[in-house]
Amino acid sequence: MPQLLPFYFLNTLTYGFILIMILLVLFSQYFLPMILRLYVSRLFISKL
Amino acid sequence: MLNLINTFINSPLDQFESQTFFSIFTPFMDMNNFNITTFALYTFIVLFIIISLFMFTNNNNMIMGSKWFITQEMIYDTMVNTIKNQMGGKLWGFYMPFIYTFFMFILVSNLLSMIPYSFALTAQFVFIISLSFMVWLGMTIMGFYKHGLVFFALFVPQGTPLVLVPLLVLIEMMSYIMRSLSLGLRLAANVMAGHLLMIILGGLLMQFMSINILTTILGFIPLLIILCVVMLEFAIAMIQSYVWTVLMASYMKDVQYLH
Amino acid sequence: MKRFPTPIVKPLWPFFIAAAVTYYGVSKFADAYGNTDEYINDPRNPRFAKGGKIVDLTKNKETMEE
Repeated sequence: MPQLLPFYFLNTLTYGFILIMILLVLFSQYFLPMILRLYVSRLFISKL
Repeated sequence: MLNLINTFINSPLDQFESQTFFSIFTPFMDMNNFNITTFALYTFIVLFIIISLFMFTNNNNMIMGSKWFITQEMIYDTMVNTIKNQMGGKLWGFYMPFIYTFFMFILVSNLLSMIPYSFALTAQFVFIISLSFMVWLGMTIMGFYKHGLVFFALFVPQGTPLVLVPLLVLIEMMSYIMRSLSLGLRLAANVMAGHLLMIILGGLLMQFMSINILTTILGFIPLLIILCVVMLEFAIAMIQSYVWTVLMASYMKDVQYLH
Repeated sequence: MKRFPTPIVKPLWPFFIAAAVTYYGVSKFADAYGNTDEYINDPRNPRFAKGGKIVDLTKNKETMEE
């Protein structure tokens, strides 16, 4: 299997972990609070 | 014109092979891990897709996003409900962004790999299995930090007769350790098997349809079956990311609350 | 885009440790696996970029037999 070629193991891990890290920061500090703030603002407009 | 008849694929496994586009070479340090390979290119594409799904669709932070933003709200609702139901308690909010990250990464890379001639990120066994091992090891560290030695109570189900305890602890511990492997292997094996199936069936049909005019017309009947297989693969691409999320949330619950 | 101070390191520090451990383990495994007989003469092996020579595997076996 070409996936099990050992010269690319660390390359995949390096880029994969960096991607997961960037995504984690983006999601937890920018994107998910954005959606939550949107929901809260809708709630304030309609119900409260 | 594209010569489709003479375009043949040497091996069905060729699609998983990553190539180096350019390598960074310095004489004093090993920069080999930072080569731009196919994998690195596709991580950039996944990052770009996810950022654009959120940034270009939110309609300048208006109270109503664009139509594309509804998909993001839907995914958010699904994830919140799933993780809340699986974990329970109050702690789910701390770990929700982490699980959400994995969900979006697996979903986008699975769907990206369904484009013909593209590369499947999630079929790279070493990366996915080390990702699942990382998740498992982090949860184990977290459990020992939070509960101390009481963490071993996870291996004894409630209401066990005392005679069966040594046997059950052995079995439960085996299943707990195997989680690190099975979580990633499930995803990678599913994606890889699906892509292999599609390329093998497609190659066979390509050879069959290129014999003469009659077989070209007859070949449209198996083409329908292949279409069904492709639809199944799209379903699997979404289901596997959901399965990963559900399992990760339930493992997190085990570690946080012990039963 | 507005930035919200969601805690990341505080609840998720075990995963960062686990990622470092996994990275280290896989690097060791890749080194060991790349130096086996199957892959040591592979032209994609990165040691050729640093001027490594081809290892004659048959010679090694003969000397070992002697």
